[in-house]
Amino acid sequence: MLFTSYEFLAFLAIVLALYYILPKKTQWAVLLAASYAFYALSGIEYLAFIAVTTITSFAAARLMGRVSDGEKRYLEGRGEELSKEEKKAYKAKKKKRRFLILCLALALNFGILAVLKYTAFAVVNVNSLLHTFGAETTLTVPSLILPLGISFYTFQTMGYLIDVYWAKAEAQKNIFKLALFTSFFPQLIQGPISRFSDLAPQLFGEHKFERKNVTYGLQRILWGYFKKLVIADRVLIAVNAAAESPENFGGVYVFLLIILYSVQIYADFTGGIDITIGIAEAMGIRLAENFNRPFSSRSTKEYWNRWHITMGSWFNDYVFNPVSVCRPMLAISKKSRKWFGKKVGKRIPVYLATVITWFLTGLWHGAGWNFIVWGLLNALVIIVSQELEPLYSRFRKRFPRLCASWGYGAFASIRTFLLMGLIRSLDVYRNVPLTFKMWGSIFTKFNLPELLSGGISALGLGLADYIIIVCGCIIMFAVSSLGKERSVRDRLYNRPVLSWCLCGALFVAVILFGAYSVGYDASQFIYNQF
Amino acid sequence: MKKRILITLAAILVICLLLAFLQTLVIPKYADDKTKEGSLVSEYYAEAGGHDVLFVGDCEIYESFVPAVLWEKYGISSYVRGSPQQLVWQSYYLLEEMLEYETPNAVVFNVFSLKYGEPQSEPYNRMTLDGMRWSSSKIDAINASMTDEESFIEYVFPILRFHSRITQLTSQDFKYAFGSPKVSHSGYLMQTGVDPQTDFSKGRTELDYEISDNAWKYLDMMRALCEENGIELILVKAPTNTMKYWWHDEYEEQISEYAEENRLSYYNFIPLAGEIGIDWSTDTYDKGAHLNVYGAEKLTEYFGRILSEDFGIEDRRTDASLSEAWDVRLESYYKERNG
Amino acid sequence: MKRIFALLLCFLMIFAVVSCSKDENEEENGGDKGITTSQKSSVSFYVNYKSVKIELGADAKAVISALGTAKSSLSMGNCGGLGTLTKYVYDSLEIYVLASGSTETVDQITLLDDAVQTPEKVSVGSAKDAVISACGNGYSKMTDTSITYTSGSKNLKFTLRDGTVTGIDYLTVS
Repeated sequence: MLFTSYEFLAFLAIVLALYYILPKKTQWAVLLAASYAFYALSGIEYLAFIAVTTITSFAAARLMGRVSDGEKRYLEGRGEELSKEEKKAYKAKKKKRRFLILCLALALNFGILAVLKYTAFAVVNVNSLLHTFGAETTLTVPSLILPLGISFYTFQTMGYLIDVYWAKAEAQKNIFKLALFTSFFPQLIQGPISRFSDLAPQLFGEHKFERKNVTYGLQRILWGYFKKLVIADRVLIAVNAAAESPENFGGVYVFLLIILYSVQIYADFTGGIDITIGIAEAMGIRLAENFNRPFSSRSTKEYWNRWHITMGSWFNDYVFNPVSVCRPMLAISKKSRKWFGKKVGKRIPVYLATVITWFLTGLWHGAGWNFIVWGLLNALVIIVSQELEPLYSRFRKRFPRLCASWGYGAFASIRTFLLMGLIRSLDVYRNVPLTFKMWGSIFTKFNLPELLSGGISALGLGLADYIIIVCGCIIMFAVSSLGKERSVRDRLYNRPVLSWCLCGALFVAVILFGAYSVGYDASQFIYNQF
Repeated sequence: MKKRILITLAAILVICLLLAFLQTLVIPKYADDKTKEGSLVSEYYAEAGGHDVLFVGDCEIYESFVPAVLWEKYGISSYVRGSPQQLVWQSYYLLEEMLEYETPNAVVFNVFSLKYGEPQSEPYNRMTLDGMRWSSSKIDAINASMTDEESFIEYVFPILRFHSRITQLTSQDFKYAFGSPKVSHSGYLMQTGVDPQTDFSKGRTELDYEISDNAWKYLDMMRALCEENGIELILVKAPTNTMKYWWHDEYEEQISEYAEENRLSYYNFIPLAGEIGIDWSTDTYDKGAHLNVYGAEKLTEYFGRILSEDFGIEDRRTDASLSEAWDVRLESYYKERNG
Repeated sequence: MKRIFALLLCFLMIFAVVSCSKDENEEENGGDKGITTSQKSSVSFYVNYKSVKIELGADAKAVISALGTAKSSLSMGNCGGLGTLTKYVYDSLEIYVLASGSTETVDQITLLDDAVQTPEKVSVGSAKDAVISACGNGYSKMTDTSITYTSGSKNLKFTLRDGTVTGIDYLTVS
């Protein structure tokens, strides 16, 4: 079920109504039923997969918990009898056992994800490898189903398991409650990826009907639909037109595409997240923010702290940090310090961890070389900026006033926006050589006159559409700026007439200017396929 | 607290009114020459009741049979309920709806639409269904007609479908926001232009000539409905025959067989065009795809005799009030006809 | 402990069976465009005529201007102002063009005689067996009077009489 479907709106209304009508202690059960219903309506054959993840994670966490409890009891009981070495050895043995359980569960669940999502990609690459070496055989590329939200719920649940292993979270004793954590429907399609210790108490708690929560939640949902339907789905028409016939839209069109795609993915993704967070908020549940004015970022590093925040922090906590301090990496660290000297040597493990993390981030986004290259390019930019940091700080010392000026800040933001947009275009063309070719054409093909003399209409949008897009962007920017000091909803909360005027206008705008229904191509949130 | 509730209710009311107003602006008015056929279905209600004969079908029927002629020459009161690409189930549900208003002696159905067994086109669906008043027949018609891209709620709130027109509004949208001008004469859409048919070659090949089960199902339902109400169901095929409107032999065979098996009268006017007196150089406005008023009058006069003599439909010109009503319609008819 | 391991293994096995059995039937959901398991169609939906490629669904303006003036043409508007259908008659074939808004697409192609061959080297006058050996067994419908190959909305219909092809039509049916 798409967020932007009539069925979903009806579903949401029913769920919210039941949530507040039924007794508070059944609220989590209502959410579980709703989440599984939502999942089943999207494809009943998918249920087996999410159930397997839930069951195996539940079992693994309980097992690890049992090992820890056993360890505690044993040490309390026999503590005085044992020597320090014996205690250490015992603890190490238990830790190893928990690690084994964790690895089995991770292997199984990541295995499922890997098999379903990446087998076809692997086989295609094996085939091309075989053909390069002249082999005749062609393996059949399998066609496997990809359950809705598998990337999101797998990562969220594996995060829970790892947290249990690290004793950051307690194993959940009720399998149905864990099932809810895994399948919570608002965040199933595109996140945000939540942490068990943050979400669980809220999810399983009791929530009274609070006018503020419901009002704020509904306002946020409306705002999300505005961004998604009025702006994102409209811009998507032009983006698709340019991406589908790259031979006709080279040169300055690629530059335009970069800007349009940036607007489109921002409005689409943040819009979807607004709907997600708004739904949860209306239920009295606070989900983690996933975006924080990303286009105001002045560097790539800052950008990744403001864009898809929960994914970044998931990879940071569960991949980058562990990889940085794992034994093989420490060994590499020692060796590289020996071979390359301390200065260079200490950077190598960090950069290696960065590359691994970004390789996996790219791969998580999709089974394609374009996603992998996307990830690696991000890693490259981060590493290069790190290397150039001494140069930057010298520059900042020499020109302190310039660097503090508004103009320089704007320059840095625009630079980051364009750089990130350029790299992101790998997602549009879906083909690495083609993308590089299109980047080249920005500098080699001079077709600005063609664009200005009506060529732009070939992208499928009329003047009215561009006016709507520009107005939409201005509204997004205004709301974002106003919200810096004090959130817009806070400002409106005690001014009902103004609040209704603005929300009413927004609602009418969504109905009237939304790019939905016959005549506009149906489009899913970009992150739906993950 | 009370103040908040009042403000909330007032706000919701204002929003609904605003949306209702915007809806009247964006729905198509079907008032220009090209699209006026979209207005046909809704014009029935002004004349509903008391007809001897009801015609249902697609563009072939509403451009071939002239109620004004049937009244003037034979005293038969009739109405043509047709719309562009009106599919057989749409004809069925429109007939079912009309029988809530009246019970005629005969129903005439043009068989051309039987070649379509599946929902075809969203714009044509809209032209047929939006003009219906809400009833169980309309609900059934919508459900039977929706293509994959359509949703029922978009028929309940047409603004959801037509909102994209907000950037394409014309003066007509404002002028006719609360009602489109009348385009038909008792459902007959007059065409006074002349564009002769010169190409008599066989029309284009079609993918499948077998009339589908779904189409037969609705024809059976129409037959049953007429039988239940003591109405004579007459099948006809308009005399036009060209290019994409070609009436293939395979269709003719299936219909003839059906009519024979079910003891229905079936008139294929294509081979009778000569006898009717149709001259393809003067009687068509679009190279033979449809008749213009001159051809339609000839066909109606021919068919009226059949209705009167073979089906015994009475001459009701002695009915004073009916005569008065028809005098007005005739006046309007000849006003347009003679320009 | 052992029980739970056993349970986990069971799930793993069931799971493997379930996902393997889904291999054949299920379509890739939300797959990336880069990995397309393209469907192999046994026929193409275009013909080459006078070195112009005429393809179903292609932009007709380019095709018609490349072919030059037709022997005759017949244009007919659709009811309710929804587009126009134009038939262009050439020496050995007819092309039907559907104009809707500003776009014109090739809606139907009819081959009239054996002067034009399909890309599979079938023409009017070919035998039924020749059609099947050239185009394969992947037809969507076969009767005594026709063989039809379908791919989405594109169709290739061979009209037969007494085992010989009497008509070849490329049709678009949504």
